[in-house]
Amino acid sequence: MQDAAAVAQRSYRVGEARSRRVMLSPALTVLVVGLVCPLIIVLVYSFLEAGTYGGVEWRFSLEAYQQFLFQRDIFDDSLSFSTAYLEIFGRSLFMAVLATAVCLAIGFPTAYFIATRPPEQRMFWVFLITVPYWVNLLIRTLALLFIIRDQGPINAALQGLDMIDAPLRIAYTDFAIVLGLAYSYLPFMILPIYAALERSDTRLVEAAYDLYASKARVLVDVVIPGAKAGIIAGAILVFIPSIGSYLAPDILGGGRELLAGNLIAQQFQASRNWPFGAACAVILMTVVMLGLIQFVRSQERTRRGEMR
Amino acid sequence: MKDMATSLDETQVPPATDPLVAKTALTVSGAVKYYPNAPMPALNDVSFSIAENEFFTLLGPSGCGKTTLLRSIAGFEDLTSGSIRLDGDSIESLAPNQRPINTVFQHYALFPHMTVAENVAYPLRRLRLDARAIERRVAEMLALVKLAEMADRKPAKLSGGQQQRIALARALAPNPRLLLLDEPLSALDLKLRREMRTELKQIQIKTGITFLFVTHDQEEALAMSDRVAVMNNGQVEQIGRPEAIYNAPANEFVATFIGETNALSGLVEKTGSGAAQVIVLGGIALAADADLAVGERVGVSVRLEKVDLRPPGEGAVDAIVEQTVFLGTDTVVHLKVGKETLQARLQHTDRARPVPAPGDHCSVHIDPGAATVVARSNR
Amino acid sequence: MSHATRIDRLRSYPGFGPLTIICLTFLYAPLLVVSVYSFNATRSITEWGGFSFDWYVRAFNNPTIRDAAGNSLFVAVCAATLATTLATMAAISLLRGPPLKGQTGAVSLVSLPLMVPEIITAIASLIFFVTIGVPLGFVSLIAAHTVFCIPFAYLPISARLSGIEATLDEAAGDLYASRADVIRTILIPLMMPGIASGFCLAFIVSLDDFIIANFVSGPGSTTLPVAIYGLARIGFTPEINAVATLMLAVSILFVGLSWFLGRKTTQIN
Ligand SMILES: Nc1ncnc2c1ncn2[C@@H]1O[C@H](COP(=O)(O)OP(=O)(O)OP(=O)(O)O)[C@@H](O)[C@H]1O
Ligand SMILES: [Mg+2]
Repeated sequence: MQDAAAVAQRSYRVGEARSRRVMLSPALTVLVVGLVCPLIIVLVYSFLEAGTYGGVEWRFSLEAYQQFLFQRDIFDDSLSFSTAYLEIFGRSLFMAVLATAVCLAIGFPTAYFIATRPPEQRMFWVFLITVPYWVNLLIRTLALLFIIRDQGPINAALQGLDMIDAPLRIAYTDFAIVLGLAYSYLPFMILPIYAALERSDTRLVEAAYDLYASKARVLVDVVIPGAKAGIIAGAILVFIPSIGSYLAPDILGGGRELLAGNLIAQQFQASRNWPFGAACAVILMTVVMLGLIQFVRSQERTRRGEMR
Repeated sequence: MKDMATSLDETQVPPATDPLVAKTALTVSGAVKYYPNAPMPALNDVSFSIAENEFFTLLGPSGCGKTTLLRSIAGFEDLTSGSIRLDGDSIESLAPNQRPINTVFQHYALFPHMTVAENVAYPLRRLRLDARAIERRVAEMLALVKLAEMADRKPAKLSGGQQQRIALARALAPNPRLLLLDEPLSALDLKLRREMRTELKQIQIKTGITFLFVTHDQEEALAMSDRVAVMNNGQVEQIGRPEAIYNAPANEFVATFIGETNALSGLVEKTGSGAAQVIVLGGIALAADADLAVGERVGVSVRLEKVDLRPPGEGAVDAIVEQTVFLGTDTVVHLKVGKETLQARLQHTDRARPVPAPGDHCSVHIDPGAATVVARSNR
Repeated sequence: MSHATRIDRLRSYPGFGPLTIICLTFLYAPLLVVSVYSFNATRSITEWGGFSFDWYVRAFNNPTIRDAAGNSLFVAVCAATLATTLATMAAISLLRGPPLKGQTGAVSLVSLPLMVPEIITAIASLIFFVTIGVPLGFVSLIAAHTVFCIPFAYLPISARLSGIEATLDEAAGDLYASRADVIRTILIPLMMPGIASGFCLAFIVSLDDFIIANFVSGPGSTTLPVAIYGLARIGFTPEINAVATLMLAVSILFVGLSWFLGRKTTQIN
């Protein structure tokens, strides 16, 4: 029997932090090289001149940002203020807000309903909500288009029932885009609200009833404040992908009404104006960052509130 | 402050079979540990040494630093200052996997994805023993803890007591120089705990491995240990054999923490060379082996079972029974002696002597040698 | 609900149940309709011409779809394997032991791909590969997908790892295991369900991605979603329904698997 005293001199603690760092570095390197660097390059490109056949000329220029706000006259090269691109961003913002509101209106009652199921059933409901998220977004969007288009089953059914004469125009409208966005990101709204509701204290509800609150008052005074962190998280999680969405406007809006995501994509496809596309991406990213900062702040505020 | 009781205690005498050949296994000296951002030290100048083959117990209330001390010895925490020596060599610079010390964790920490045999073989594999030797040792260890038939089970399929034994077998398998046990029995029910107590002691004797055992259960400590170190607030209050700790507590903390006691206030009446007579309860004279001055007020500890109740007039002072608490094998009697209260424990062996009822009058006798001076008030 | 207690009734609100049903219908109806029509013998939307596997056979025989499916699988397997490996290493280094210097930064870096709108990730990757001179094809696609998949793999892996008691590491260290031994003999085996779950999610994310693939794949490396997009541009055919249904099935299979593995792990602890 070899004695434990004769342990090989292998190190366990010595250099532990160093070995952890070494193990961490591949992932961080991949993320820095594969995402942080590209994002920085986007920022750099937004300050360059557009190449004639796509790509960039390595000369500093603010033209891309200028183009966002002003239109250059083809004949006399004069700049005039133009709201065309601002409108696209404005519409993206508006539709994202609308989609978020729709998701909240459907998502909150659903999350509440799931959170009040018996504990052993809840995971199944949550599973039902998560599954669609994992289905290919393109396929889901196409599926939605499939049923709302003029020749689709909805219109076929309505016509078959003689409720309408001509097909109802749903596809290729702004309404379809909002519907598509809500459809795409609804699970993002439900899950955080559910998590917050599930964590909240049932005894508070009991206390409120004990103190003569009505059902509506309980909802407004106890349940919704208790789920506030989840509601904010859900709103951000729906809002961010919505404002940068590409597929829903492209497929459901028929690609005619541009949103920010399509505008950016277009600069790298047909239009071939990389600096302008990069500038739009930077502007979009800034909007998203503002949303994220708001999110982190509200999370921290609720965390502090919980500790008090 | 120097207490008489401490000088009586056998701190420096190793209790192993032959004190003359027993050599020191572990020495902790001046151990101080501050956790980051903690104002109070978890260990505050702790020193002791453990002899080879000794069953040494750290006993103390929750939060007194027992686990911290054990983790420092195992190598999971660094001391702020102080030193730890194993067989005379400093081990502070060694990582846990380089120290020939094994631990039985409180919640066993058995590897859930390995069978019982694989768990026990784990340290042997890490030590690169050859397969045959590992197999032999695992069988030997499982036989030692009487679980040979469980070798192929996963730990989740074992009862708490069985898991406990496997954890023990696994820690003993590499034949460590020192075995650390952090409250290993606390998760077991009372009956099982009693059984494991005997078994642990037997295994310790059989293997001859030095045990450093941690518990907050005084009964456990007294039952198994060769020596006990009583800890409080990161400090060692007293080290000694169980009888010494029980019968001659060094201070009030030890006296009240171990067993139940009457903490009485006494007045020194007579002094001699290293001995004195102390009066308690306004009339009972007790002997104290301490250098005291006449007229000094001292704290005196008298164990409940040392208080003798006699018919009125036969004892030194009169008392009135206030309440009796039946506890199965014995009854605790709460007494009022003048303005002071006193408790006595009556064993139910003596049929002839009935248990008094509340309101009864009786008198109290305490054997002069039954008391320990535990504290001296600053006059 | 037959055993609804009084407080359950008090906590329920009229209309919330039906709204939940509407919500689920909204989520599932389009998928269901597409799947049903993929088995329709005729091309028509309005009439049911009998049950048939025709469209599946046609889809399988379509070389564009077949090649794209092969490409998708190849890319997804590579990207998911890389992402899972990187995420496992990152999780072990971030979650075992005291916080490292720059820990919060590292954690947010790992979840960065989730914060950036996909279209931006896509064009940023495109610019990056063009700038450093990597031709668009499998290499660029796998690299971009690996980056994008890391947080999806990291989530279940780190959740699983945090569920493994740190005492087990300590016990192994106490029993003469080096740090490498601890990782190899204790952590990896116990993390396995989480790692498998992370792989499934990363695999699905790569397989599902259209936007990034649309920008960084080359002519020979077209993935299935890109191919479907191209076909749908031309016209909606039941063939697309068939492929969509198959992809749906694969997604549900893998997510179900991932979910099952995740649940199993929580039961162990
Ligand atoms: N990691 C830590 N960080 C900060 N303080 C700690 C830490 N671990 C322990 N302490 C503090 O150190 C003191 C001693 O703790 P320790 O765990 O050693 O006590 P213990 O005697 O083992 O108690 P118990 O019987 O409850 O296990 C306690 O006050 C505890 O709060
Ligand atoms: Mg402890």
